[in-house]
Amino acid sequence: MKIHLQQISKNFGPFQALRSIDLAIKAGELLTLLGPSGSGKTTLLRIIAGLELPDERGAILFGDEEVTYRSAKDRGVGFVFQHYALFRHMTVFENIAFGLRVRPARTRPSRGEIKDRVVRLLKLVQLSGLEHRYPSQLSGGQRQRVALARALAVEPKVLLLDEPFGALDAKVRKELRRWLRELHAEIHVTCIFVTHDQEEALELADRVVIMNAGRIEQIGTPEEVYDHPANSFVYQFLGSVNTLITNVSGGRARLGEVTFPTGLANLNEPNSVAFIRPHEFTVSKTAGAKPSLTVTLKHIRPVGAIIRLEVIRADNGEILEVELSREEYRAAAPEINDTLHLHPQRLQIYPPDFSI
Amino acid sequence: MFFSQHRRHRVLPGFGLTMGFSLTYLSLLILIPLAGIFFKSAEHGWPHFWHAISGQFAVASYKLSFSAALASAAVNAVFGLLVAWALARYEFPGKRLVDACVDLPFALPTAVAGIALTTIYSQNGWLGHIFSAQGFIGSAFTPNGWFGEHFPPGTWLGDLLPGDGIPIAYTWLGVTIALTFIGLPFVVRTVQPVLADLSLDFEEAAASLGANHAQIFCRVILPELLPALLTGFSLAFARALGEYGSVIFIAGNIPGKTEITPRVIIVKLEDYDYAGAAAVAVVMLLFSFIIMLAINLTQWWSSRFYTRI
Repeated sequence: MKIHLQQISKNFGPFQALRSIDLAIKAGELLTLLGPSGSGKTTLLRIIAGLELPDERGAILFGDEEVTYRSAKDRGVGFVFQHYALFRHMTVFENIAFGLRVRPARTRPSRGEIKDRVVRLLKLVQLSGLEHRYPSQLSGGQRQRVALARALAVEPKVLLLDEPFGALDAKVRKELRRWLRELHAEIHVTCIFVTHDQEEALELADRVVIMNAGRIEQIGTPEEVYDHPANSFVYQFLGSVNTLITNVSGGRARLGEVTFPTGLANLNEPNSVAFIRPHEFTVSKTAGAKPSLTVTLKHIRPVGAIIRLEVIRADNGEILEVELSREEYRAAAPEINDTLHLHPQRLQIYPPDFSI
Repeated sequence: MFFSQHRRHRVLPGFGLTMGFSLTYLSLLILIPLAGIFFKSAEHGWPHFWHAISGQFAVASYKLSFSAALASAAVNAVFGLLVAWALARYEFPGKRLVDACVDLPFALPTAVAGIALTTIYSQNGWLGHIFSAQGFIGSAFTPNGWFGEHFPPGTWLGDLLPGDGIPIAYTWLGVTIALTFIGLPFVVRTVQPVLADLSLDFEEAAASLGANHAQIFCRVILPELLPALLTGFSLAFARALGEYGSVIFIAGNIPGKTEITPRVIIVKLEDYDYAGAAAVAVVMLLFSFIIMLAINLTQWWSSRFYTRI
């Protein structure tokens, strides 16, 4: 089911949680809402679910039907909470069957049908055989899968997940992420997934919506938003990044001896901020023919597959992070207090009015 | 120590100290005095014991005491839950004041409460008058009133409320009202913190699954509150059973009709029948213990799956 949000705003007293959000969600896609805490992503999800009402003017359409003021009960959405919200006094079976049992007699499936559906859902979430357990007897990952099965039992038009893996440890998160991707490929229900974990958002999503301070900063596929951030906020929020003060004149940025075209022909700004990702540097110990940025190596931190270097700019004392693969590190073989020469492969500058 | 293999290491020591103190303390305060009652009741042998506990007025008083205590605890469970709900869920002006009022029955000398209740609920009292045969509500319950015409004597409701308004003071109803008054804080104070802690996620999850308001309350919230509600119920019930001061004024103490068991004990004491008084006390003690044990078992059973998740 495709979903349209039109001019959704929400104020909590003086706090503006959402500022006129417009968003179109395609049928069957897995969309992630990504943003720092307080960016309004959870509020937006709750408004779609009907757990919160938008301020007047806004409209929510499920397909062609307006549902802005329809209650959560009648909206036909599945909602998965960060802390599971499983009913503790009910078994796994009863939890999953809950949405079917509370239907009015006219539309309630028969006992046999409920049982069949619960058994099928348990198989889908790979928990067959645990139907008689209580939530307290399950692990965190299992509980969240029960919560998912419970939400799917009512055949929702859209599945809303509010940081569903936030309370789980890193390994289980990763497993569940892959599992959710497969599940989505299998059942193809429209999913909206809220997270503040960029890795999770990029790995799961068909499209990512990046939010900040109640606004949408950028919408795009994971590749688009990572490779072509729309503004400095997105650049800084996705992945680690170095921010360097540069002098831009005539549209060219100067970093030490290096000059870069900014793509902004007439920009003259002595204190611009340039963004370079830590892995977008080439490092050498000797100054070559190409102009370079001179730095001093302060720390070496091996982090799994990569080596992270902390360096200090010779010209203004700014601290930068550089990431090298193990091969690159071995080739350059730098040592602490060495003077190194950096060649940025890419540099991004945003015109001042785009900065935050 | 024979417990030692089951003990986990803890940062703070003190099992021996706290356990030893608890046992001594409970013995001195509760077990030894209560055991004394058993010895006292056996003083004049079995026939005397039996005679004391099976007397017509004693048996009538058990019925009154236990039924009124149960009824008042049940009323408190329902309305205490309501008060706790209002206090835990909503912000309203004067909330602190209401919150403090809940504790008043704890603080008030029970005799004061008894006199106040009697004054208000007697035939000439403020509320008692409304329910009397001349009053606004009570007049419906006379033979010519609305209720009396629809349920004349002979029908079961007609026999239950025979014709003269609804007298409150000096009846079973008055006893129940007094016991309800003193038991209210127990239910409110046990349920309120649980309700305040209860995550809104549960009801939101239920709503998104299509449950209506009644279903959310009965199937999701009430089971979560049940252990606390049962605790409050049993505390209110226990308090009501032992209550004396506030009841004797409003009860009227007509032997065999509105005389509560504690009053029967006092009457026997005033007759210097110490063994008889102890015997009636033993009966009350045993019944109370059995009922409290049953409630506690139910509570334990209802909370068996409630580990925090």
